[in-house]
Amino acid sequence: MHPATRFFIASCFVFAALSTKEPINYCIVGFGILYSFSVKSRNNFNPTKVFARMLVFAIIVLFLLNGIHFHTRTINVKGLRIVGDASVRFASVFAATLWLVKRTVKEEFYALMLSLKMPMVATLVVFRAIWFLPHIFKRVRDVLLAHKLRGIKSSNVFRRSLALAPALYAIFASMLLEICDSSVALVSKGIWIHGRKSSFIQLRWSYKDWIAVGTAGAIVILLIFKGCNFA
Amino acid sequence: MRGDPFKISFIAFCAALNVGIAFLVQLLKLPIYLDSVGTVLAAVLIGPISGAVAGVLALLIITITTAPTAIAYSCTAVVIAVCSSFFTRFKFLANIWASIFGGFLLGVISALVSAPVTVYVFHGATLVGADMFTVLFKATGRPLLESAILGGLATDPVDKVATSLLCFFLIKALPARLTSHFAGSRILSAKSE
Repeated sequence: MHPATRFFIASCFVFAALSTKEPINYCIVGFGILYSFSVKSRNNFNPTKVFARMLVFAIIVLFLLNGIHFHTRTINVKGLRIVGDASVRFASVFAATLWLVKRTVKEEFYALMLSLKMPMVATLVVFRAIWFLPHIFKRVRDVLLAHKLRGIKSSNVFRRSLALAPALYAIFASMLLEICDSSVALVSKGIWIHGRKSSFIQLRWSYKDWIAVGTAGAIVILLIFKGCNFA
Repeated sequence: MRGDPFKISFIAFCAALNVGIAFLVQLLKLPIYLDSVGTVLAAVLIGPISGAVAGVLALLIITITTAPTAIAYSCTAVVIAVCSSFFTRFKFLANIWASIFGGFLLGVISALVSAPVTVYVFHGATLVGADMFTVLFKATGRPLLESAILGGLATDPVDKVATSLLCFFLIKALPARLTSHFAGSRILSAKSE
């Protein structure tokens, strides 16, 4: 499937979840959550656990903020509706993002940005930043390990805070060579050369994309005419 | 945005640095975020647009890796970049006291800018530790917007002062051969003399 189709479906899903009334929105979000959490990732990394933890945290905070009358120590029934609405909002965004992240590989995203004729500088900045990430994470672990081996104490928050500045400087200084390498890579990728750029993956729009876009679009139009929350 | 590939690469690095430092802070179990060090560095050394690009890009990365709602705070990243760049006119990051004061102002501004997004888009939840302060203020009977602003004011100034101090020491420690690439470093050295 074309990545643009996936973005469109994810947007339609969020719209459908936010525009319908309960209990339909709970059903849509529930299905979305179950599907996105169980679908197989095509990428090296899988943020399902982190997203699940964040979603639970969000619902707890929303309940504490809106679902309790602290002064009378009772449940706020009106507030629980707000908790439900806000939870649907969070959960729909989480499900859509998780599905997109799991099903879209980096090269497809690159090819999509090229086919959308995004400025080459913007495309390369995005992909250089993504390229830097594992290098920085590795350097962070190395520097912290070196600090531990040198006997820098980390018994309390104050000592750990003091360890932060030298660690950061070591990370920053050690990444300078990577920045230089990266700038050479940008030149070799033809950052200032005009014209069509090639990508590893060639994106094609197939009949499956037409069916998916048509179905998702029809659902959204139907919701608008049926009188959704936004109308 | 046609310019030096080193600067373009540095902006990408600053975006990744925001996420990397957030990871470092998580490993060190510190009660702050420090997720705008790269934004401030890029804004001060190169310019507000570069800082904004680094900040928004970092939020995009956080959105797809940790918290999908982070991208809603793009306006805060842009405001931090613009303010940091503007504050360099008043010796921000050129001496330690200006850095502390500038960091405090950045914290207050970012708390004020973030609070409406937190309240009107997410009903008070931001998915970070500051939420507990918001809950605390809400428990005292204050309205949600006021609680979110106070929660932000309780954490953001401390975070941004720490961010500014880190940037100050980092710029001080960087070799002149490197900082000569950036127009901002010349302004900083002129201000500190």
